[in-house]
Amino acid sequence: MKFNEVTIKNFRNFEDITISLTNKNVLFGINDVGKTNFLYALRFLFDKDVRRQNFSDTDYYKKNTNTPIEILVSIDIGDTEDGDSQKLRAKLKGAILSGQDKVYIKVKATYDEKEMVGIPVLYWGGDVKDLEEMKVHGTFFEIDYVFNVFYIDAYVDLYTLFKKNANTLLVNDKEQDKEILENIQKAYDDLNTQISGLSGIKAFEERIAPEYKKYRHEEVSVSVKSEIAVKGLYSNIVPYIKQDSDNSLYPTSGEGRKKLLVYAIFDLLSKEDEEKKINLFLIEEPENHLHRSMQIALSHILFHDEKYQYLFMTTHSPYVLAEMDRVNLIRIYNADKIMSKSALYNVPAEFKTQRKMLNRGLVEAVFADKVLLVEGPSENVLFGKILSELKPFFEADGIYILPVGGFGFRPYFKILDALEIDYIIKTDNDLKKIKGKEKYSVLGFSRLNNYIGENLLPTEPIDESGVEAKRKLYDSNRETLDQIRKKHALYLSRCSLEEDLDEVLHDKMVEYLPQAGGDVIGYLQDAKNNHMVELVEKLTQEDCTRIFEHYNFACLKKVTS
Amino acid sequence: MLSPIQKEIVELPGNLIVRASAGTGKTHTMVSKIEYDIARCHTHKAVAAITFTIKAAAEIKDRLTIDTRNHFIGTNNSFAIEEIIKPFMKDVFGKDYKLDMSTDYSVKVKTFAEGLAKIKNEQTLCSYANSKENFIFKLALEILQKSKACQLYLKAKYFKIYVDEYQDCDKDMHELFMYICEILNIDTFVVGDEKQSIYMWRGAYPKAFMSIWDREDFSKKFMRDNFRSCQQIQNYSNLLCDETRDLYKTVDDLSSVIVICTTLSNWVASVTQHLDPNKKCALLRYSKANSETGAKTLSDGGMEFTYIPQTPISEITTDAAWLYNAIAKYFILPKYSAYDFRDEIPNEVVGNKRILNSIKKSLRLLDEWIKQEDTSAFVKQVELIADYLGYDTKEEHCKKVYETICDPKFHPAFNMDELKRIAITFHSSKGLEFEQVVLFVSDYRLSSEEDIYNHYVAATRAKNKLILVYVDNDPIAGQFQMNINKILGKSSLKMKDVATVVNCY
Repeated sequence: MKFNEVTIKNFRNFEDITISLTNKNVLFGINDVGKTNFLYALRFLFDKDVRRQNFSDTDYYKKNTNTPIEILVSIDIGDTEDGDSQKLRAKLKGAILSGQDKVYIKVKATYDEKEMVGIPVLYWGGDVKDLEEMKVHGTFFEIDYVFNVFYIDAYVDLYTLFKKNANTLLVNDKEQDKEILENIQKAYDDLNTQISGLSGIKAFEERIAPEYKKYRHEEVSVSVKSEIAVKGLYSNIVPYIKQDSDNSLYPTSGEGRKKLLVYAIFDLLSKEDEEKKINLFLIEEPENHLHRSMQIALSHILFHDEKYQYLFMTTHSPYVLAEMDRVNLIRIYNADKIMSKSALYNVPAEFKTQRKMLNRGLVEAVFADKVLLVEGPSENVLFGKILSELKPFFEADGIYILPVGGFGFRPYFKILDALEIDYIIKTDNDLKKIKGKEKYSVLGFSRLNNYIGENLLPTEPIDESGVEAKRKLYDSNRETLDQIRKKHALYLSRCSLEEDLDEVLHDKMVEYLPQAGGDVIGYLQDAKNNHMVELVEKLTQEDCTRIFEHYNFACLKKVTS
Repeated sequence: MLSPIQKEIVELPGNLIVRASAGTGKTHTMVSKIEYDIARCHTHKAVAAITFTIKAAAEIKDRLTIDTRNHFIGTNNSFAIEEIIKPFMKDVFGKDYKLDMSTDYSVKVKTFAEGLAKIKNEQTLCSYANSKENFIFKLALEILQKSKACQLYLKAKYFKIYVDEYQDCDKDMHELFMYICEILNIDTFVVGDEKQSIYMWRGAYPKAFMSIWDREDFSKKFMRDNFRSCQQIQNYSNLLCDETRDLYKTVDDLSSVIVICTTLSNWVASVTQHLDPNKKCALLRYSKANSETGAKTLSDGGMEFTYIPQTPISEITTDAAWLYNAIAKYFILPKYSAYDFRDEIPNEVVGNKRILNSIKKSLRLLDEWIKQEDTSAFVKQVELIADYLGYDTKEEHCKKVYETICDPKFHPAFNMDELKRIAITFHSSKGLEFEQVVLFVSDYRLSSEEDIYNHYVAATRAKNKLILVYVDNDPIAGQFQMNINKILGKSSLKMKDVATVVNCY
């Protein structure tokens, strides 16, 4: 079974939106663009407790109650051997016919002006143009026998959750429990006898009754009891956390611990029916109250535990995405007219073992509006310094510098492209000696052609290498390279970072890096990151402006424009 | 409590065929097995328990202690119609067949094409004029074979199918069930007893049952220990059939099976002196007329017997049949309440208040019309309640309900359990048991296998006393005598070795 697509019409801030889905989906985007509403759309379809509340006029897009709300999800059940596909098919019966692999499930609510409410009606079937109305028993639709929805909101309360599910979680029906339960009841009775023996309690009981009778004259007395004896055992027990090395109980202190316990409880609850029903997890901003390391631990569970096979999650946290793989990234943007873009992200096979490293930059980038993709850490350090000197709020403005390192640019810009996140690439004008020949292939040019998908730049090998050869090559193609800058936001270095920088700031660099003995390029290239940090520490605002304004570093102006 | 063989049957996985002689606890075993299997299935999948009568399905539902909502428990026809024909006919025959169908087997057709036309034009599922051919099951098989969606549905929904009384399956039913077993690979459990096949006249094909017994992909079990009848009655019935003859065990006391040789004018007196007036007794006859006159003659002779007639509504086979019965029971049985009525609504979730209130209101109105003897208002109100519950009615059927309620002679059919002595046709006695049973040997020639089976079924209704009435000078009784001697002779026995023979001329 595989989720395929969702269309939301006339619901809350969605006028009409279609988003492609897979089984793991992460939604992100700035605040107030409807991430929670997106989860609500799914809940109105799959969660009977939400559906039961019906739609109110404010659920209609701009209160347009003349048009019905429609939420339509398609799910591929073509894999007939799959247990979850079978769970759906067993209830669909004749609503899906031979040759149909997708099931469409729709909730539609026409607003009833008289009752002032939109009653949800459900439809499903294999032909989207000819869906069958779903059978309903009381408030149970057929689909409610198939799906179990676990909605975990950002501020889920441990104690409420525990109490609500105490009867499922704590089953004391063994023979030996009988006696214990009787003993507990006796203990309650004792407790209450003791309580009523207290002088303060007695005095209160005596004083309160006459006061009550001033308001209403009836023959009553007031007694003070322990709540536990009145409401029963399960009303009054809460989970505590005890550290193995420590004997004291922590009343699950700290919101972080509570949150982890919440997830653990949901794990247990989802196990109850997992072979009989399909568990859907709708999770809202799980990062709240969790330390970075806990978020990363949670990320591992969310993306690698079978339990979260069907997941719809909103988040603002890159750490929650740290372990992401086989996930549909859904970016929701533009608060005026909600837009969305989604991209299927699979960690490429060759990087499976380096997943965390590959993801590290990407998970930050997907939250940005504009990304500057650079070769490595030296560029990151230098550009970061310049931007924070000249545009101190560049990160808050949604700009992110992403060093691609050994992974190359492609795995990153493919995703950014699909999510329609603006990006600028700054790459080096590399040359590479051809084996056995005194020729050099123009690696930087080829890379650009490759990214553009068009051979705009010459790819004939050249006879020389070195700084001057690179500059010559660049300058003789400058017109084309300028066009590529403009049209594709691809910025090729004239040579490489260090040489291009040397062009701008040679004297200052010699001054700032006394240990270089005059060979600043060699010094910087020698121990890249460390020496660049050394340089950057000394750069003044004036130096930064000079770099920022220079042709060689025009990518910086572009990213801040 | 399960006997060792019953326990084996309950716990045996996979395809299984069980031959269960009369009184061996077949229903008890099947219900235990269904519960056992469901408890061990951890997936969403369900079972289908398929019976021949609504009564048998209700009994299984009643005995199961688990929630049966997700499972199919019903008659073979409703299985074919609800699970195959209604949902998937459109998949094979096209959109024209996406319609609300109702059933009426009193509508007869000659050919398959005519049957299809009846569905398309009149939304009616009918039956073949030739009672040995089964239109419903031929259609269901055609759909199942051609609809991939239907095959996937059954495979996705069911992990096991149980078919009761398999000896009563006709060829078309057998073919469908074997398709589900072989091609869809759904575990199949069948139980039956070829000795109890009394419906061959309408197409039942006990050879189908025995053909499963020969299959290699089925485990086989034989339940022969009769827990109902005393040893002597068991002996008598077991000696009738080849496959149980070896179960004969000599007994000293021959007072449980009595052959009374008597005359037409004297039979009542000679029979009643052998009956215990404090214990339940049934006179089983082949024809309705003989049952009725038998009851009258016995009553006139001083021992009251109530004839259980066929009610006007018992022959109705439309979807609304349960509704007619429920209305009749509400007005005839003092203890049958609106709640019992609601619980009989097929596929309805118990506890729906709105439906209950509507039923209560309708029943109050019906009561009013009965008191005022207003048949047409009664009929209209039945139509209204049927319409509310989504069933089609026919005016003549509603009138039959009225007739059933208003004529007290039909009432015994609804509270048979509370009557001490009844007279009934033996076809209606299937699945029932009585302390004492009176049979007329002139009802059985014993010249064909079918006839021997009929006698087997009738004899095994008795728990502690079986009286065989031999009326002198009756030619069929003569044939019986000749044939029973032949049959007993196979075990080198005579009638006097297995029964007490009394002459009362």
